Amino acid sequence: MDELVNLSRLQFAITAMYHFIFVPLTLGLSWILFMMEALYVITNNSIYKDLTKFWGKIFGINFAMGVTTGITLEFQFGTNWAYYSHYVGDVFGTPLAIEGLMAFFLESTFVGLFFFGWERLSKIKHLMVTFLVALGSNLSALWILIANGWMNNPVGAEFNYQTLRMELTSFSELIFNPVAQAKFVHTVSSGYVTASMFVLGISAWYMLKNRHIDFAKRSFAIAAGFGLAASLSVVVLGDESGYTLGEVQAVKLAAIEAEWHTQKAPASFTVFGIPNQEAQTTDYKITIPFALGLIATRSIDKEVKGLKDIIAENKVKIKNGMIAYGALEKLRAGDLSQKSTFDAYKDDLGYGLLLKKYTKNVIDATPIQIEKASLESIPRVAPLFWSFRIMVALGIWFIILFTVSVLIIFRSDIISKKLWLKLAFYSIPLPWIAAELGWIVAEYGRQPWTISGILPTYMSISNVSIEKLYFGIAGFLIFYTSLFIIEAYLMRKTIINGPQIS
Amino acid sequence: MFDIIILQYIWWGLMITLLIGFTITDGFDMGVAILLPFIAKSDIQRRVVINTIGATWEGNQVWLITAIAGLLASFPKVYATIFSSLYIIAFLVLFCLFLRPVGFDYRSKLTNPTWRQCWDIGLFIGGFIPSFLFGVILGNMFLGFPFYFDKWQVLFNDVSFFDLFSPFAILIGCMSSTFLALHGANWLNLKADGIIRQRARKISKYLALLFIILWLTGGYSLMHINGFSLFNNQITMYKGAWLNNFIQHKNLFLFIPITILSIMVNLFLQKKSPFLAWIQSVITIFLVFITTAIAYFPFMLPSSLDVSQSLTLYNASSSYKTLNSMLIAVIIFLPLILLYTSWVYKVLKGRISEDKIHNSKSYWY
Repeated sequence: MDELVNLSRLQFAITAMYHFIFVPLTLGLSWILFMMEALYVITNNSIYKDLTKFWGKIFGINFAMGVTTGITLEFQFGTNWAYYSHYVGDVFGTPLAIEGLMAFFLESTFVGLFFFGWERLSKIKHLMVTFLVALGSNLSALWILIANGWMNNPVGAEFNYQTLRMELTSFSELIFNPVAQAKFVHTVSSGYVTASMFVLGISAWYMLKNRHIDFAKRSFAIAAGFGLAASLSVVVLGDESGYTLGEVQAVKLAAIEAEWHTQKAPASFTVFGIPNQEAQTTDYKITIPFALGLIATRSIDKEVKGLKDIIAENKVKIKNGMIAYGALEKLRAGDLSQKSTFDAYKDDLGYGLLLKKYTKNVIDATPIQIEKASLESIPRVAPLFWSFRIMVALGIWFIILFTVSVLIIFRSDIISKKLWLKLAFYSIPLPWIAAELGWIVAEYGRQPWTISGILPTYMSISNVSIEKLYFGIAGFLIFYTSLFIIEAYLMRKTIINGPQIS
Repeated sequence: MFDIIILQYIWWGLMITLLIGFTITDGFDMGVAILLPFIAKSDIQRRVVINTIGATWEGNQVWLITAIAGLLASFPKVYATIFSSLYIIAFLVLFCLFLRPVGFDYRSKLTNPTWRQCWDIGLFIGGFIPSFLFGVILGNMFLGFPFYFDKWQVLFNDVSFFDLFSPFAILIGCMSSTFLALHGANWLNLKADGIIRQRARKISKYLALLFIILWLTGGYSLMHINGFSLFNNQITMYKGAWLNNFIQHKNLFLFIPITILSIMVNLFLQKKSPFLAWIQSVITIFLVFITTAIAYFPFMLPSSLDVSQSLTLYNASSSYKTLNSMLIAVIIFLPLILLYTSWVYKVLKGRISEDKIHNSKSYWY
């Protein structure tokens, strides 16, 4: 059973992180294309049309893979997470379906016209097509992040004991979920940073090779400006996400910061350390006083709750959950007198379900099992601690890189700034690393839950044979590796061939 | 506003509508891909065929994606049961769908003939296998899957991969691919030029005949396989039950000759008016789906293990609020989608000919 859960998680992690190789470039490059084409329409300078067409070719190679890998995730909720689909499909499915209706149709219908419509459409109409592709892609991010935001902060829904599932009670609470809002703007900003870095780095490469200088300078300039705005916004909005965590997902914040104890406010920030999960402490700590309290609570007197306190609270919730589960069993068997008991403890039902990992019956859990479940009610701290810090460090580097890039575009001797151009080129993979680390923080940080406080990951899977997992994972590794090699080859060839200057 | 039961009927209908939308649009994409190796013999002919669908296939595929997301939202247990029970088939469909976007976009980017040949085979697989497997899935939905939900609503299924390929399921699979190939041929007749058009019309006759034979055989089989019936809140399973709805409303049997007539009219119109012929093909799609839906109503997924576990539109839907919110979303966005989709097709009006691809400096796959 454990192996089934772990392989299901592994498969989802592989396919989701692979999908997110292509998504950020689509999110950002679509707007960069719009900007380049807008400049063409406004100035009538054909160089901007060349920019749009070249970067559009890159966009097309990438977009294809983004769609492909997205369908995988839609299938996977059903193939590997059948109990999850039943338990929360009522709520979770809604933003997904709206994503299809509002966003996917928009971006996919117009993307064909982007490539095929140059000769058939007026300049303004083609520009509008480009806009709609960008809008569609970004709206897609909105809806999927509303869904993911709900997984982390399950508002606007209630458990129905008769149907044994979560049911939507408020559509507006679902879409105005503060976690979803913060996540959306932060994630699309990360896409804008990624695309800007990609364009910046490749433009830098052309300048280093003394090729297509005019073309490269203009690409560089657009990327630098957009990238600076994006990297500032991604850091600010990341901060907003962190602040929201403090309000609604304290355990994730505590884990990211390796906050074992609730410090006296304002808490200090741990820059460096080796979190030790078993000892519940961080070895070799280097801290900055007051910094965590100020950033995470935006106050000097509010505390950041520590993991030890959270574990103790969760232990109480687990015991409450056991009562809720017992009442639920009797209620389902027809004993309606249990309703008031159930209602009193139902908010902690999810915590009771954490015990399913140790005993099927939940209500017969031993003190040792309860203790184990409490310790495992928080995620593993070290991966989160380090993913977060590397991501933030990279974020700071992006601000520096784009700031300097903006400053040097005003110089006529930009192509002689060889060191800086090289830095830009070698920085290309970094936003991808930052983005994937960010997703590790978001998703690994939600463990052991698929729906925070409601549904444990352990219970969310499909009851399928382990061979099916081997089959799926093997298939993905083969297909995804091959497709990646082909895609990278085509990208590289397109870049080396360079743009067609009219 | 509405009673939940009205919403359940509406969503049962909407699911079928989304699948009809998929078949009308991505149906001809898959059909054209199936025909690609047979109807196009040279590289330029292959490019003509690919470019009849190149600009619009991605938007068309969204009907499938939205149908699946809609299923998760409106009938989550059905979504969970189909995908986890048909695990391997679902993944096979997925792997074949992978070949499509890369096939279209990457194929003509290199001139190497082996590269292009490989992607042509990839595009064929991407059209043929999913359309075949969709038919296999449909066939099995009539036969029922062996599944049940325990008292905690945990799904158990006893589906074995090879059991899914019974003669009836394979028959429906072949029927499905043939049907989409015919719809694809109608599209080629409308959008391609010269020899491709001619071949499309010629192959339509064979495809139409084959489809009618397979479809009628399928219907005949329904008389002999164990079907499911819902009456007085009781589900029973017995031979020929799938034809109950027809037997109780004998006029509905007329859908069968009307569908065949529609196919005949389609063939008749092909030379004179390719556009009307394609519209007639669309009408045939509606008729085939409606006929199937009449037989299947009100089921969503019968259980061959325990009939009382069968999923119907009554017992497997989402909550009132979800169905209602989603219905509002559909009412707002579906007309918009139809509007801008037709605008895109209007912009891309005109035939694809070998000359256009040879001479033009504009973008072609």
